[in-house]
Amino acid sequence: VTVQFSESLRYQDESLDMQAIPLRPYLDSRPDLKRFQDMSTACWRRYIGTWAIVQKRLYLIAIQARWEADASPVSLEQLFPGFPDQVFAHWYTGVLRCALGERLNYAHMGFGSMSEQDLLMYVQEGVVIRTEFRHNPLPGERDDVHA
Amino acid sequence: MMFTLDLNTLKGWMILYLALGALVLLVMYVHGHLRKKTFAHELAIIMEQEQSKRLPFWKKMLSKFAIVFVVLPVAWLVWPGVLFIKIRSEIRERRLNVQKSRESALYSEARRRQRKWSGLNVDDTEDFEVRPDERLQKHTVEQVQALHRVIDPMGAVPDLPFGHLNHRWVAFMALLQPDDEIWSFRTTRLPMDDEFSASNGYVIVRNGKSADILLTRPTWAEPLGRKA
Repeated sequence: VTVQFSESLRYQDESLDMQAIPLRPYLDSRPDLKRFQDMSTACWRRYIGTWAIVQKRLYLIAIQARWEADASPVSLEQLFPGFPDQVFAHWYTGVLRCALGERLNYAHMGFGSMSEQDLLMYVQEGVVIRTEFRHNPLPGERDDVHA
Repeated sequence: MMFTLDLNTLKGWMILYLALGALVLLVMYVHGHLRKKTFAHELAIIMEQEQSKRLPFWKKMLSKFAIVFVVLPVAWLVWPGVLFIKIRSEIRERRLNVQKSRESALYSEARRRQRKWSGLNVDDTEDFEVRPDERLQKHTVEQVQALHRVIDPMGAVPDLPFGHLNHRWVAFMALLQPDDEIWSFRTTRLPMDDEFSASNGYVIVRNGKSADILLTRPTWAEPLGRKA
């Protein structure tokens, strides 16, 4: 599978590329939703979400996608009725990975490329419970994790 | 005054070459511009803008300057090469589109299979039976609802059991029959990401046997975030 567009994460006034798809469990729980329009081989999931960490909580604040039926834009309100501006992602438990620094290698597959550092956020039911910076060593370097 | 092209001189050939080059570049520009109307291209521009926001002002200006004063003149001079690259990339893109439709079908199938286990899914888990030794505790409906109230200081979640996933809870409740019991359970037999050691949820127990399940958040592997 072609390398995929990242999600976008606003964190401490920075806009980061996020290699995780926290919206998927929610969309999987909604088989009633109509399909999104196909975008490209670089975005199989057919949308790009913009997320924010506010007070250690994960929010979905925007989505870029179109409905397959009429090509109209998808809004948060359509996915989460009554919540047009931001949605607390309490359904998500997992690790958010954000690539920092220069890219060390390019993997032409999914989110496989590696950068100098990863910002790892462990999220439990939408709340960030731990943050780590992981240094990705060049071949021959020692692996080093700073909590 | 009539302009005549003298092809007996090198200058004449150069003018013809550059004129053709200008025409080819113009056609390529118009072709590219028409294609910009696709949604995928709009998105690519948005992603590019997001990337460019992170660049300092002088770098942005330098890149624009380089395009106008370096890349364009060079492309004009070597336009047959540019045309060759363009045709080759068009051919590749057409091949990619064929591959895309094939992969799309595979992806849909993979997603359909994955849907079976992800989220709070109750519809497609009929194959999985919770063993009696995996049951943890018997609950009432009210207890489960109280345990899964979601509170958010920003008010970005509905005040319902399971918050934005209330529809899954409602679907689960609809499966309850008289005399059914609700038990919490933990199992390691369901597929899960490396960060987790067990799946958790609720199971409807009917006549002592596992019926439908509702998955909740998984248990982290120990130490947190890594497989033990």
